[in-house]
Amino acid sequence: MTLIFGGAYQGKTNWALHHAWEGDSPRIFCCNARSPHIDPEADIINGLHLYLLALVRTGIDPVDRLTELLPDLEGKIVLCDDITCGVVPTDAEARAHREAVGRALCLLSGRARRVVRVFCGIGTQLKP
Amino acid sequence: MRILISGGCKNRKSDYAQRLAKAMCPPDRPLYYVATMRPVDGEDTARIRRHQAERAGWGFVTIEQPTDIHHLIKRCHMGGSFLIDSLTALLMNEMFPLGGQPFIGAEQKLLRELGLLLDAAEHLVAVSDGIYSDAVAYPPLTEAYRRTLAYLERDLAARCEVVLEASFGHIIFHRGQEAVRSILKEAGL
Repeated sequence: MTLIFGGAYQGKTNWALHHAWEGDSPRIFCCNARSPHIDPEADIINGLHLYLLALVRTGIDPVDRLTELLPDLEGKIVLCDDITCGVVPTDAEARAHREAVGRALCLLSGRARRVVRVFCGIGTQLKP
Repeated sequence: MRILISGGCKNRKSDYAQRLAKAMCPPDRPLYYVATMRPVDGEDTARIRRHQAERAGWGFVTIEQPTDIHHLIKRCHMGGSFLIDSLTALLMNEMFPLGGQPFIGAEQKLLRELGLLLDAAEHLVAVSDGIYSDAVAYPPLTEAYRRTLAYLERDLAARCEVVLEASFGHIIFHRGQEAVRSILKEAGL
């Protein structure tokens, strides 16, 4: 798995398509905050933070579910917004979401073969 | 050389930017501080005074240019060294004009005007703010502002020889570490 994270609008998708994906048109799955679902056939999973929000909203422990999902993520490119900086939100759901993203990124960083942080459209490889 | 510095608030971005702009300035050429903030309250005025005190004695000529940033090309010696602090304030002024409606065309306007300026300037440091990694769900207009600032930064980053991130008194090099080495030394960094 290749994990690509960074702040919102930093150019993660663009970076994934130009520097991480090798091949013809990839199948891209865009997560959404309404349904806790990931297409196992996808090559690129975009917006993992939204999937995590959907899990938080349905009361499923995000890190437990992600741990179960790890074998399915093998060989895929996973993109996630880093929302872990900034002030602790006053809203309980936003707090749970923020922490879920932090824990999930630690889990995925540990398992990923390659980890890249994107800043202003420029990728920095943190692993290997 | 053109340099973009971004990062969180109070991470020493302005300090680094001042040192780099001064270190890059050729002898006998003007060193410009491009002031972009339009003060709206006492807090802004205090921030401006603090920044003014921090650069006193550095030899900066202050140019007020809160909008229409490409007008610098007419107003200034383009062989001088420019410190533009900040993109964040420029976008704020263009997108949310005082007493007017929000201007969504600010993105295209600034992309064009910053492009002209970067083509014309020999030595320039632009400061922006990393406002993309918090967990708050913003109202649509604020989100549009955030997205637009990120697009401007990415466009600028692609044009600049050096891209830096200030991180609590440290510099993370995203591009051009070798290119900026001698300037950093000159700047005492």
